[in-house]
Amino acid sequence: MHNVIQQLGCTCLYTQRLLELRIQKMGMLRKIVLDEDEIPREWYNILPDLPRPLPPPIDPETRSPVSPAKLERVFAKELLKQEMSADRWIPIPEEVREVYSLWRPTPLYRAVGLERYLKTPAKIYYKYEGVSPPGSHKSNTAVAQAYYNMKEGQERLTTETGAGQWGSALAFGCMLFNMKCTVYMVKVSYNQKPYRRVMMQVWGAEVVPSPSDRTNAGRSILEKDPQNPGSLGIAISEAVEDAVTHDGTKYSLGSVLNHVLMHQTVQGLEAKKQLEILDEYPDVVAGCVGGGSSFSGLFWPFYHDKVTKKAEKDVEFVATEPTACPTLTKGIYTYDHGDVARLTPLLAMYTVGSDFIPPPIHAGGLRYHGDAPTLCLLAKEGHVKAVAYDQVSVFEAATTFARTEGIVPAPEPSHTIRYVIDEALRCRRTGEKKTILFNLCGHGHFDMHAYDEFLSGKLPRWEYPESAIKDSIERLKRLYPWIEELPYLR
Amino acid sequence: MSMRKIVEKKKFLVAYMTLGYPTRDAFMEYSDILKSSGADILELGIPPRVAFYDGASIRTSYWRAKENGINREAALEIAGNVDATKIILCYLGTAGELAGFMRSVARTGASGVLIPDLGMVSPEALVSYAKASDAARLEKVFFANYNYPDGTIKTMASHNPAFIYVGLSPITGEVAYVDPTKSIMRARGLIGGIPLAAGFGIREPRYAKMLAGMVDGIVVGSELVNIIEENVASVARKKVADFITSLKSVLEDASLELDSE
Repeated sequence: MHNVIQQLGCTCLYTQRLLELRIQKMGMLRKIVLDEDEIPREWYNILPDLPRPLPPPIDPETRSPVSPAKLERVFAKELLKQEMSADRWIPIPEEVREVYSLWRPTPLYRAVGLERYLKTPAKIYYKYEGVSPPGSHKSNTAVAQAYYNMKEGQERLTTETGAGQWGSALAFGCMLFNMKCTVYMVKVSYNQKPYRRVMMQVWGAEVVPSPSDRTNAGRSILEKDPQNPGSLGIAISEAVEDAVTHDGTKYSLGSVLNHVLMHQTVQGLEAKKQLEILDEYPDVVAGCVGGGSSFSGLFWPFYHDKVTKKAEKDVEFVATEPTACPTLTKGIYTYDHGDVARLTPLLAMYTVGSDFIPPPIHAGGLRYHGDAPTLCLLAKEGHVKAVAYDQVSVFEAATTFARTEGIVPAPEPSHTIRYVIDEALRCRRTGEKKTILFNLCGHGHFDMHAYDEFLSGKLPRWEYPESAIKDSIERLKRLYPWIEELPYLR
Repeated sequence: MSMRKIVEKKKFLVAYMTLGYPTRDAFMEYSDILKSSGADILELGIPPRVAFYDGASIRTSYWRAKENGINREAALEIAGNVDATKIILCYLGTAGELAGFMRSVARTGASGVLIPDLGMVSPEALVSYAKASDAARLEKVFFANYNYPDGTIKTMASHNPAFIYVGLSPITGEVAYVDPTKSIMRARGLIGGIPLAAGFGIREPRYAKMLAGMVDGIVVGSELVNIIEENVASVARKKVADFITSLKSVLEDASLELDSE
């Protein structure tokens, strides 16, 4: 305990005496909260530490990496520089740190209640990102992206959103830097899940149901099918078209790209510091994967330890995903489009096919057909393992968590909770005293409909058929037969 | 003089041309012009199916060469007629089985083979290349893009190549998007004493001058294609010669400055 107290001397929030009393009384700390001074000053960029070079985005027309000049029409210059940078550490602007201090550093919890319930010798820690005003990790990058665009003189950002987590984070980020924000929200969610839409509007964003008559992409769909319920792919097309056809406007993406994942590393950097205070180091770091940003943000700093041989343990990285969208567990590693409409460049990733039709599961944030290229490369090279769960077992775990820890988790991180519970129970059988760290990337306050369906036994199980993945990849191969010739995809 | 001696002796200029471009005959004329204007090493490319690192200019040259009926065998046959210190550029998919390919290259009198997508594959691919290169008595040359991981660049250096060619932007012909000084200093830190050549987007002697103090060599290619495409043959020949001469003079000045320090 002395070691713990000594290390805590560096934090301002706890006095040594107070802490001593708490540890004596409780036997363990329930949460570690860092001082605002300890918000990281740099983001970690994984590119120089990858096991082999990251295959860059390819323009299917030229079959070569996409020209940065072309991407400048869509993204802020500084973000593109970060995207392509080989610098291991990127300074976080003070203005961004100041905004982060609204909710950062986020607490690291010891899942005391869950551990007791499971009677496990494993120690379970979770980094809780649901404390941000929009309620998830997404604001870590939304704020940074809004800041850089504002600095470059942009007046407005456009983006797409499904159920609304990313849209509300960007609306929040834009509001803080006096920027306008236009969010193309999938029409079916716009009508059926109004609360996130209202949240965006409270923060001053314009929310447009997609497909809309605002863009050529939207109009052409509405002409053929006026009742089209919309999809994320259509919303992406509309948001990008809006950005490139209006001055002072750029587009913003909430996951997948390197710079987005890099902005999320504040989570892992803080968690490392918080665990150090407890003299702990994880055996496992786990997180859910939709595009891969929340999980990457947590595990990258631990991966850096591993590469630089500073890791105290041979830490394992575990990605969790739905069986309804089994990208890492059943997908194929190849070049595929980032969107359904095939407007984006080709990305090297595990994919279930860009013409994948998302099944109506409740973890909207995990229904992406691909994953971040960095994460896929690490999975391909054996540095990240992946497991998939169906939504019924996920909601069972989520409910157990809510009843033991109090926090009602979002359906997305509940996939990881399922893994953590299973692993903790395995530890009970084997007697292993594993230290497990996972990412609780958002709360589930807007997901009560899903909980209601689960509690009333109406939630269906979903498993995406492997044959559908094969068919989709075959279509892709016919479209771009030359992809097969790229030796580094094998 | 062996390629290794050239690159170790002074700051060197590498000029790239696609084999059989713009026509078979004109290619031979241009290779003479490049050599006589001051290029120390000619980098001669075999047109691939997928030109992974190449921008619009080099892709145009591939397309024209293919129109001229240039395949791998034809390209190597032409290379055999070029009397200069030369290396052959070939993508992995086009090279095929490496040991056999290296032997074919050695028969052309080339000093080595540059495979631009080799580093993308795996450290084992670098080992296979090194073995095949040694067996064919060729010099090893590696290409690394500026944002390759530390481990990949260090592994390349551990094979003691004649030089490592660092691409400063994602594709040929495009000016560096991230600070090229930073990229060069990083690569320099990772490869130690191995000679370092920089390329991609070097369109003007002024830009070459900015880089010359930090590198051992400069590689140019896209700008040569631009000149050839944009001018009638007689003007293009003169402009190509002038461009190479001006770059050579930039490198010589930088060498002198280094000697006087």
